[in-house]
Amino acid sequence: MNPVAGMGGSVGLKGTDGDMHKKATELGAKPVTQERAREFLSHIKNKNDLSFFVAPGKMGENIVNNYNVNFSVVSSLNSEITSAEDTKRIAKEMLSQDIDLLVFVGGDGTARDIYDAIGLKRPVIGVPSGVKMFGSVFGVSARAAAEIVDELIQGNISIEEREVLDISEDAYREGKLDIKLYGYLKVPEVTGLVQSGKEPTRTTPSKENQKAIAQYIVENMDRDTLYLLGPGTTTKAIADELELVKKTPLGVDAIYDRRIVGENLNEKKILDQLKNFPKVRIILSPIGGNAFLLGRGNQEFSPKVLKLIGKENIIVVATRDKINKVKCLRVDTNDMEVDNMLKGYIKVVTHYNEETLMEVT
Amino acid sequence: MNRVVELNRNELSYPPPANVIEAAKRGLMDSNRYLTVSDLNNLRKMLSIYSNVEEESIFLSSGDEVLMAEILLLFSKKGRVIIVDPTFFMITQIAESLGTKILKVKITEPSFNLPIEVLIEEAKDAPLVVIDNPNNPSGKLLVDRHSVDELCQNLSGILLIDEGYYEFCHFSVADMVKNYPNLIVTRTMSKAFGLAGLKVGYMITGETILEAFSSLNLPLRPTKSSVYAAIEALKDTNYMEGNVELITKERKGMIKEASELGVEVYPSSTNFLLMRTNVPHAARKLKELGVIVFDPSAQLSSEFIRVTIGTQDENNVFLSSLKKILNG
Repeated sequence: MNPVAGMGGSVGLKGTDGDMHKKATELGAKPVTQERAREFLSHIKNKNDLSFFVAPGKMGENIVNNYNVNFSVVSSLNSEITSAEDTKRIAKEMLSQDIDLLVFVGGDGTARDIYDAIGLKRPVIGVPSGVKMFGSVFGVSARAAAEIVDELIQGNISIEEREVLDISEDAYREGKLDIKLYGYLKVPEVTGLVQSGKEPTRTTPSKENQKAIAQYIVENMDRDTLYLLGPGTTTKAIADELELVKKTPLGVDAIYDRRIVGENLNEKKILDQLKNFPKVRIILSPIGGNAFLLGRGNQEFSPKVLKLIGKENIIVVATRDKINKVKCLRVDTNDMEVDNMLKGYIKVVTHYNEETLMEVT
Repeated sequence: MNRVVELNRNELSYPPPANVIEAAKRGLMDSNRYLTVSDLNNLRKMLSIYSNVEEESIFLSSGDEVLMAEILLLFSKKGRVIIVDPTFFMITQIAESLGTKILKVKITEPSFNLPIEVLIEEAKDAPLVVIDNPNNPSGKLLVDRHSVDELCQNLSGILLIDEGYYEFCHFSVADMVKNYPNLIVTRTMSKAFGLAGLKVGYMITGETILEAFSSLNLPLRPTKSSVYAAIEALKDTNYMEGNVELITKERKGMIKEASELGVEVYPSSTNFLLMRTNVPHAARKLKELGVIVFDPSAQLSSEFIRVTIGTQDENNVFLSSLKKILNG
């Protein structure tokens, strides 16, 4: 538990990264993490079947202590004031306890700390308690996170890699959203295998869906076209299908004739590539829970780049599940003209041989 | 678990009237013999009067799903099939299994409007466009006569309009088949007529398409009991109309009560309602309480449920269970 997460919200500080939580306390903010943690714990139905490993003191122990559950405390705190370093250190120590799931209570900042500490080594679920939470590693509520734990016990889950985002709090305080993709965490996803009488619901597991999309894209790639492959797990599946081992997870790579010809390209390098190749297409996947297609986490595709490439040369890929959860795709490139060019309808490759026509706003 | 309430398949919650059951029994008693052509013609005649279309434009089958499957199989070979998303799950399932290209046109809450102009642009060279009207699961009528005119005039392929819930919305484009040889309308007697277990479906279309189906006349026909029951049900439609009235009244009450619980309820021209709760995996949670509703999470997010309008008693059980899951 990040004991100070979420405190900035009510006092208008937009977050508590760094030392901002001290200011929040001065402004009269009350801790919110404890309440979220209680809500989470009280909604787990099968808590007696679980062994909890909890962070010490106010990072977990104090709350879990109130419940009649089997728990042991991991590590200790050196000071009354906790920090991101404590989160990282304790998360790392928890790995050695053979845990099945790491639950954290916090916001996007806490998610980044967890990512720094454990990467993709264990599944993680966030109990939302921060101010922003644009990332998609959180349960939709504390209660939903509890349900995911219950589902995990029953085995009704699949694991997906979801985005951890880096949002500049300073920019956010000024009313701007400066979001970068920070990394991926493994997140349990409750599978929709609910059988309701005759009518089955059919969900394709995410990995399988990504592979089908990747196969379709690769089969339809032109040898004389330069493809700029944006960040994301679905675009990564395309790189895997091409057997490219070096795809930059969070950046843009250039592919020509099925080989990487440019790695981790920034705007300038992309513009250079455009001079060398007459035919260029971008392959993109919407980022984060807000379905941003451009302007969040892939700013390498700047307005200048997008104007040169044109909407007709943008290939959008996304799993069915991702598309089902959003109403439309969004663009916010910081350039009204480019945004307007991209708005309207766009086809998203959602499976092998399958496209979904979606509105871009 | 005590009682299980099934509100997931958009069936009629009331049994067929005694005369229809008697007719089905007669068919059963005589089931060592095949159905005669005159029995089939009788049903076609009754349906033509009921639908106000030419008798020759009606093709009978054992349920509308089988017709949709055949239409998709026959007309999807030459290119990309266009369907709505979300749509009747069977359409999606069949289309996805065809191995042909699909374009899904997404419609989204709260309006669930179908972008007709964009659809026409995309559909110009498509061999088949499938639209369920009203749409399932949203309950919304997606196309009007003008849109169907526009679509039929601009498409080089076929337009299939499924009117499975025609009796609840009283809107049809069946008469337009005489103007457009590329228009097919499918209907069913499984919903308002309450013959879901007997499976009687039919399509209304022009000569060219009927020609393509001529070899399927025999294999797709319904059973003798089904045909006898359907003829009997069409002789007097008062029972069906009374049920539709009852369901429409119940639907109004359900919308009011579910909305008061804080659930988003979308307007419906059918015997079901699409609702958005704030509870993830809402359908499963209702199932745990013994209320089975349709889980549309393969097409929408898991907070959505599609609930059939049942009897007043069934609807009350649903509403009280809904209240329970909302309160956690």
